[in-house]
Amino acid sequence: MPRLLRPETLSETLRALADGGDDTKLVAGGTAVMLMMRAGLLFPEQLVALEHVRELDYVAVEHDTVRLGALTSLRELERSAPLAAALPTLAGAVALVANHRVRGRATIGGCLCEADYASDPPAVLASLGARVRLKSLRGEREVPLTEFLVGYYETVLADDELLTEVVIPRPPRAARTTYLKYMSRSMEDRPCIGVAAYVGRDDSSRVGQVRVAVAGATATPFMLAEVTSMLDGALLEVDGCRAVGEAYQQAIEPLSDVRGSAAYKRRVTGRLVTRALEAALSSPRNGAFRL
Amino acid sequence: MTGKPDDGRTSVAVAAGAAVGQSVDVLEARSRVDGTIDFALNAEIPHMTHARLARSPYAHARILSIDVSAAEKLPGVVAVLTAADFERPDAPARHHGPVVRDQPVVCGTKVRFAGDPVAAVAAETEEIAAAALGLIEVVYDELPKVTTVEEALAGGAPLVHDRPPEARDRGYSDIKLAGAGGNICTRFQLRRGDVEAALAEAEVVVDRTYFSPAVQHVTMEPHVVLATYDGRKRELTVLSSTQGPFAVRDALSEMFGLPSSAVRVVVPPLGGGYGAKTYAKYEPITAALAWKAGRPVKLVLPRDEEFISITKHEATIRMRTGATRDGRLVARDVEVFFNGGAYADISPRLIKNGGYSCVGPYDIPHVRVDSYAVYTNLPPAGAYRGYGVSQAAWAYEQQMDELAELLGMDPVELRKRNLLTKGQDFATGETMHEAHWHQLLDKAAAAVEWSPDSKAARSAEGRLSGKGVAVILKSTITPSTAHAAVRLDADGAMQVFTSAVEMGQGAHTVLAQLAADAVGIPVERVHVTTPDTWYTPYDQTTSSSRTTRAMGGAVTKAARVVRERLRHLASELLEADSGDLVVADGLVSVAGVPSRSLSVAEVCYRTRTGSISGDGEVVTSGGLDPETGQGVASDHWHQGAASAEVEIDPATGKVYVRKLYAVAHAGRVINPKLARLQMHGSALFGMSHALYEELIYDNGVLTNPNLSEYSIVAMGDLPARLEVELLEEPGEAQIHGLGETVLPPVIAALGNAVANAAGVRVRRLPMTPERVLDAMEGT
Ligand SMILES: Cc1cc2nc3c(=O)[nH]c(=O)nc-3n(C[C@H](O)[C@H](O)[C@H](O)COP(=O)(O)OP(=O)(O)OC[C@H]3O[C@@H](n4cnc5c(N)ncnc54)[C@H](O)[C@@H]3O)c2cc1C
Repeated sequence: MPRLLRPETLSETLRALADGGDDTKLVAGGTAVMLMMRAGLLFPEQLVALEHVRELDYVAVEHDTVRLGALTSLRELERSAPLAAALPTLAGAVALVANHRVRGRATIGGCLCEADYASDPPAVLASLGARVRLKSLRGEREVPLTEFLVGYYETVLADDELLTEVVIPRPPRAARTTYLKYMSRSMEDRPCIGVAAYVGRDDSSRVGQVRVAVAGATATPFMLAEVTSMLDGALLEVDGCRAVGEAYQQAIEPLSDVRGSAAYKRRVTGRLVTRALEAALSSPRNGAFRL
Repeated sequence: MTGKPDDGRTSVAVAAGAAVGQSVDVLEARSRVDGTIDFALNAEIPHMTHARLARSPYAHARILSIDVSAAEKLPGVVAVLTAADFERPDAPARHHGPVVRDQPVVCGTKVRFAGDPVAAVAAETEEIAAAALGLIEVVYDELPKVTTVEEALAGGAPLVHDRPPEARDRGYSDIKLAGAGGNICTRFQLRRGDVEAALAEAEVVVDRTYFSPAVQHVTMEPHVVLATYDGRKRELTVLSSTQGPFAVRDALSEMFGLPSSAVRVVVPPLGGGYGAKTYAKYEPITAALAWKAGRPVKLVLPRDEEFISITKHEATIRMRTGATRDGRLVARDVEVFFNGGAYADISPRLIKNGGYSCVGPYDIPHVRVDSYAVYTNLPPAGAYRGYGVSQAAWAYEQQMDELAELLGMDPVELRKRNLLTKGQDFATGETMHEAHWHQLLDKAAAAVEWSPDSKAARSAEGRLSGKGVAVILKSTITPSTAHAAVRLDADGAMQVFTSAVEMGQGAHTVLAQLAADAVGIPVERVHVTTPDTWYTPYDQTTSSSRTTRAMGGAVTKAARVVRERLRHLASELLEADSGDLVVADGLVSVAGVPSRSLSVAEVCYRTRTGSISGDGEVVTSGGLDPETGQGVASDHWHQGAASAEVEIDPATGKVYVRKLYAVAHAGRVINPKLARLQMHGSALFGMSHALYEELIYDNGVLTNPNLSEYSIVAMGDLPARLEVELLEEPGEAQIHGLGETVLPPVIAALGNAVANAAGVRVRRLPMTPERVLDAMEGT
């Protein structure tokens, strides 16, 4: 059995990490890490349980940004009225993760650090242009989420670093966001394909920046900036949505898993990207939808 | 009514009463929820050790050597069991099996599936036992393997069993082993009329193949066994989460060469069984390890090993059905291949039931069925809720819709022209004494507002919608034997002694209700014992939807004996003929004169009676001729129907179940709430098999042995409308089991609804979005 530490403050945690080296594993909600240990995929010598570190448990909705403490549970995010008002698509997407038992334990920091390809929140956060703040005794850095996630279950976190906060710029009032979570099996499953769409807009009918992130198909949320950037300033219509969908379908190289073969995921990606953009443009309401 | 003479052993008819017909809550519901219930999982005894199993990574390999010396030296390891231990003169037998003794307790010469146990470790803690597994060195020589039926039956295929396995000395009378050879374990055949001639003359013939994959039971509670071997007394005590206490007792007594009285099997409440816990499973290896260790051994099977413990049979069914232009079925020819995996387990019975079930509840004059249990290098397949009927119904109820389409006929109408009616013979030649299929089908069709021109429609969101129906018959284990004893104590409380296993289905609650009414005491005063082969009377098995009928009948009869004795004792005290006495709510009174009454306690006190006992039994008979499949397949028949409404997203192929309806013939319902819950459970199992579940093997190795890769239905999947109905009879009526009845038709009804919506048929389960989309887009 690994040794268990239960720090109560951020600085104690950073100290434990600095002393611990690569045989130390953080446990936030434990929903991912405990499964890995049980499956024999992970044999840490020391566990640092974060449940008593209260200072990283918060939702702060500010004028320009929303900041989420890394140890905030998905359940709290889902139930936060300020978050639902500021970022309804994120709050809605979080509510579609697993089931309430898992969401009660799972934290947003754990979700991002786990870097599982079949996750919902990372794609939504990527489409919103989120950044993450990483801390160690050596110092602090802030990186875009898209650079934080680098591969299958792989991030840029160093052994002694802790993800402390997720920082999300607040979209302009007229911007449209949507998330489609498509599950090919049970409704409590991870996504087969998830599509997060962000359509920046001023008050005219022209669109600003467009970002579309696909979950479940590739190692990290799949985004085609060169395709969506072509839309910048355009009059986005049905044909445009379809063209983006087709471009995603052409470019994506999905992996096969129990939720669908690569060929199937490719087909579905194109259609759902189109559908997500159409929904973002036509739906009066920003939010996340289960398919 | 079965129409058979009452020889004192037949089942009983009961009427609604103070307890019967009431929705009594499951007696131990609260303790199941708050965690205080004593599952086998919670059992601890002094000096107990913990077991883990070393398993083969290969699907088929010769074992060149096994070296456990390093594992034995690990501090905390108490014993390591391998095949070598069975060479000791006092050793138990190394093979077991309910029908053929083909399953090694631990493998000696070769392994036959990825997961076959090669050694077992007992240690002071489970962690030490797990660590010891890593120190066991086994050298394998991999052999060519067969994992599919096709591979197994190909000419020159590698043999899973080099020699034909030995049949068990005392098998089951309904199981006839035939046709063994190569990788065929056994075959069942049914012959009626002249199929070839009838098919040649038939105006239309449909010929299709239908596939069901292997799936797992995923009981919440895993297999748990706690075994103690007392070498001095030569006694073996086993606490096990089994559905068949006596089947386990007999297997162990044969294996250890002990009289059955020297083997004691105790069964606490289970956290689900669904067939996975029928017959000996992990009792032999745990008991052998306890024998070797000289200390009690507890095995709790880890979840990933549950997935390789036992499965529902993968089945490939080729079915040809011939009919006249006006929709009369004339012939059916079926070849059924059940992939039995590496060991026979109960395949020889299941392939028989799954074989004749392919005829469905239809009157077909010419029938030929050949049903095979095929050995492959996969984990063994065995009993699974539905017992072969799910696979059969998946084939024949889809084929009925396909035939209807070919005939340009309404599929409900086609069925109605061919459904069996009361007094008609089934394909086995036995007469159907009860036949409710017309009514069941009508109800199922009405529930989805079926109309002959029900056509697929497109919803506002562009989804395709469709409806489907299915109707099935299912046998129950025949012959079968259930005994019970009842003891009314002087304080008016009652003990029901039964070996029926409570596994969450509410069996004990229902038995208490039946016992309470049969004597005339409040149900709260009845206690139902835990099965213990030393004390509770024999029962064949808690499976096959038989407990409420068979054990319920035995308990009712036992309780009626007690009531007679009670009335007899009271008659002198009340100065009345015992025939004029009624017992109700714990009071014995003179009929029509409620003031002349005595409580049970008073009767006992005044007659110096300590307790009043009685026993009862239900014993059925039957059997089929091995050449023709003619005879009596089932004491009575479970009858059910289902209908479904689905929507399909044409972009993804995903099936959304909007409505599920299921109906079963129930005769007398003992507990409406629990009956409905059984139906809900079956319906959701059906939905899960139809849409999600599939064990996926790569080179014979299971790739999805966890609940993240293996998907089962969850609360979020419940259709917006889930409706179940029970067909009851008035007055005194027979009890019909309903634990499985509507599982098979739900799968088939969903298949038909999907075909109705999509315009194409997916004959392979599960109907994943990808398969549906491929079918729709012709890729
Ligand atoms: C049954 C089930 C269903 C699921 N379904 C979905 C789904 O539908 N959609 C979806 O998106 N996800 C799903 N998940 C994944 C779930 O969201 C993640 O397991 C969860 O978010 C991880 O958070 P946690 O706090 O439990 O992480 P933990 O398990 O505690 O940690 C995960 C990893 O991150 C590290 N870590 C944790 N916190 C930090 C930190 N602050 N800084 C640095 N490293 C850290 C840990 O050391 C570990 O390596 C499901 C999980 C389960 C068990």
